[in-house]
Amino acid sequence: MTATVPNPLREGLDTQRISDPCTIVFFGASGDLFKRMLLPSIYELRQRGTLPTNFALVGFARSQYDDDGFRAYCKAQLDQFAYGAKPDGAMWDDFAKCIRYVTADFGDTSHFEALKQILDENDRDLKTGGNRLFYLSTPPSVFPGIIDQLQKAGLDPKSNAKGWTRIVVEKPFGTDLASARALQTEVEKVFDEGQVYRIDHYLGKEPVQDIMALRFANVIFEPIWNRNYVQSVQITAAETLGVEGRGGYYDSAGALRDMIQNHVMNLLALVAMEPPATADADAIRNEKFKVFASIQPPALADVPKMAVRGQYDAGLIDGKPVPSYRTEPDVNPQSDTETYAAVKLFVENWRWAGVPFYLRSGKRLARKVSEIAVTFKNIPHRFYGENTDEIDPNVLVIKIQPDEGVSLRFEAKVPGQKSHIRTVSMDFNYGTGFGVQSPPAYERLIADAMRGDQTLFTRWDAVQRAWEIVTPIQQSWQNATPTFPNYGAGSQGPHGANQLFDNWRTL
Amino acid sequence: MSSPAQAATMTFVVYVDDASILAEARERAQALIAKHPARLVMVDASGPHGTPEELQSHTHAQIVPDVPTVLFWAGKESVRDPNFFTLNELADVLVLDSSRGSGDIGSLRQLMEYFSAGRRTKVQDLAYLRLAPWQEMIATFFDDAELAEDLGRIASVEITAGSPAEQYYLLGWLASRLGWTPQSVAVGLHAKGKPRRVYEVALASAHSTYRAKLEDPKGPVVCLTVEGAHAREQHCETLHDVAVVALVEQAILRPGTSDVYRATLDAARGFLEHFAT
Repeated sequence: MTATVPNPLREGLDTQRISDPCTIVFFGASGDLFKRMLLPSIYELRQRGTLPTNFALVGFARSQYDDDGFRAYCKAQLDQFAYGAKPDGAMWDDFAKCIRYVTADFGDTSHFEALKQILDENDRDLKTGGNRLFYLSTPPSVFPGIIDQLQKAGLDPKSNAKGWTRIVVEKPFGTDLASARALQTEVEKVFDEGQVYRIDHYLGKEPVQDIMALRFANVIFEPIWNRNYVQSVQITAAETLGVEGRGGYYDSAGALRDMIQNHVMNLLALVAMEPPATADADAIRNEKFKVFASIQPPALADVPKMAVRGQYDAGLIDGKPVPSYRTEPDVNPQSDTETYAAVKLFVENWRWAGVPFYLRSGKRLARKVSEIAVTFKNIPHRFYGENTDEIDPNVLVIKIQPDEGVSLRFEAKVPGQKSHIRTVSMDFNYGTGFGVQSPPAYERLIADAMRGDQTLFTRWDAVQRAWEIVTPIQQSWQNATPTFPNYGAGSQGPHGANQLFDNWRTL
Repeated sequence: MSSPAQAATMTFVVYVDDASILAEARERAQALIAKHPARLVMVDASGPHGTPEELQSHTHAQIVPDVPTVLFWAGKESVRDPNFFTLNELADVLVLDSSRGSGDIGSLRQLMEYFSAGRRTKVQDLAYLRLAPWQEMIATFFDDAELAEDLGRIASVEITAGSPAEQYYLLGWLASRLGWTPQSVAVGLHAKGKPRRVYEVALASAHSTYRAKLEDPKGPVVCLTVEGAHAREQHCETLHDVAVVALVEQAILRPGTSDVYRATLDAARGFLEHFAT
């Protein structure tokens, strides 16, 4: 491992810089995720002075480039997608010097050996210290092959005595329980759990991280954060977008796999978990796993009462007509893939027994919104307010997007001689509250992986348990032909969702 | 119509004695209190304003009790203005920019002595806070383990900046971190360019020279070069210049005077006294 020589000039500096030098290798570097999200995040980290001084980036993909060609490709993508400074001048020249590329067939060991040679050259010339971060931004089907080839080419952690080797695996981790276990078997052959970073970019969003701060850095919420005071919890991840050119992938995934099993379940864990003893990654992940362990997967026969699916028809979004799912490019015209999923789950422990958690996610819905709404119980005894007044329960809403913040709904007296009661909302918005916009999730997550902080990454036991929970739903849905499409684009979702829960928050 | 109830996290007192910057100072203060709810007290000393004691009394009457009072000193002079001392008695936090004013070494030395005197008021000097990106750049050289071993062998330092406060703060910071005294290191301080701006810092050991240089024509970029035995490829970083409002914001959000700042002040004063004699 790289020896750490204390740098006295660092003492007391308010710095974000990652201390370990390293090379990051992006498998699938000619793909959409790389050019739209990963490369702009890396470049912004560079602009902010967060990347280590001794840093290198290697692209590894099927497209034909040499090093200069790939640098030109990166510059063109950054010109289009960089959200901070555009690539220019000395900063870009300096960044471009650390970029290399391997035109690769993922099944060809010699291409991985070429990669190894570049990494060794980086260690020698750019002083990257033998530290390697492999980022799998490829289709999941090639994950096992890449991992196998890394080992064959001597790029596995055990063969690297000079520094650390870590791997970032994009979601989905498997397409069902069996495939997730099969993938994990391949991963385990080469990497220890401490070297595996299963990314769920939702967890890198600032408001998601603020869930723990809200709960555990304040005393006012925790005493009422339980079955005695909470009526229900709704977690929503709704989009107005359709499949946006990802029809091929999405048609084999669907809302349950693409959103509920990972993003939405992770939000549930953050809402329901017990306070961890420390801020250590495993202390937090232990508590999250305990939440999943407390959720009983529904019995097959109960699935219709616990889960609803839907698929969008043509409709209007922002007043403009949009096509039905089945007519989207690369989607099977007879597809039964769900574009909407709603699930009711119970966390069976002392804190949450009997409190329903309603999860829903869908595409082409009326409004883009991701939020967690905690609805509290009604007041136990009413003596205030005029008879015609409704006294609504308090609702705490943690808003993840698009307006990041927190709002609390409560009742207040309307000024005047009568005792009318009206619902009011107290809002906190991150943008105006702190005067800064939250950095994109990928920036935070990539930097954390380089730092070796696994807190915001999902551990295998939690991934496996989340699959166990949704597996009966998958099976039940596979066994029955749905009546699709069943909701119009731009609507609130399928009517069937109201049989699951009649009090969904309006999108 | 009454204004809505508003929380206050501090009383923000802004002292101005130059009518030409009054409007700008007020605008900046209002931008700040829009984010950090506060009672704003503008002290305009650009015209007739009574004695220092009268000014103090008038200001005191407007302070919100139980929350900190932050004095942002935007006066032309500091230790040479009697209002500076009377208003400081009201403040929990003093924010000023020692690069403003006449900027001569004598007043800088007096100011640093005043800061070092262990008063109740916490001092935040924008001239020091402004150096954070440069401190970061210089520290970056020695993240490289091989180069870190050369830190103890640095024999000379050259600092090029537009005003003495930045020169002495950078020198003081390096000296405090590396245990330098005026006798142990050769120092070259060069005045160049606009006030409040650093242009170049070069450290040299017997074998290598470490140079961080502002490359203005290429944008706000600092390029780091290492020449000599430990030569490295040039590495460039964006210089994150911080606007005054953001610096003042940092100043009021910092919990107190840091140990590193105190040590920097002590070291800088040592060099100022040495050069004065």
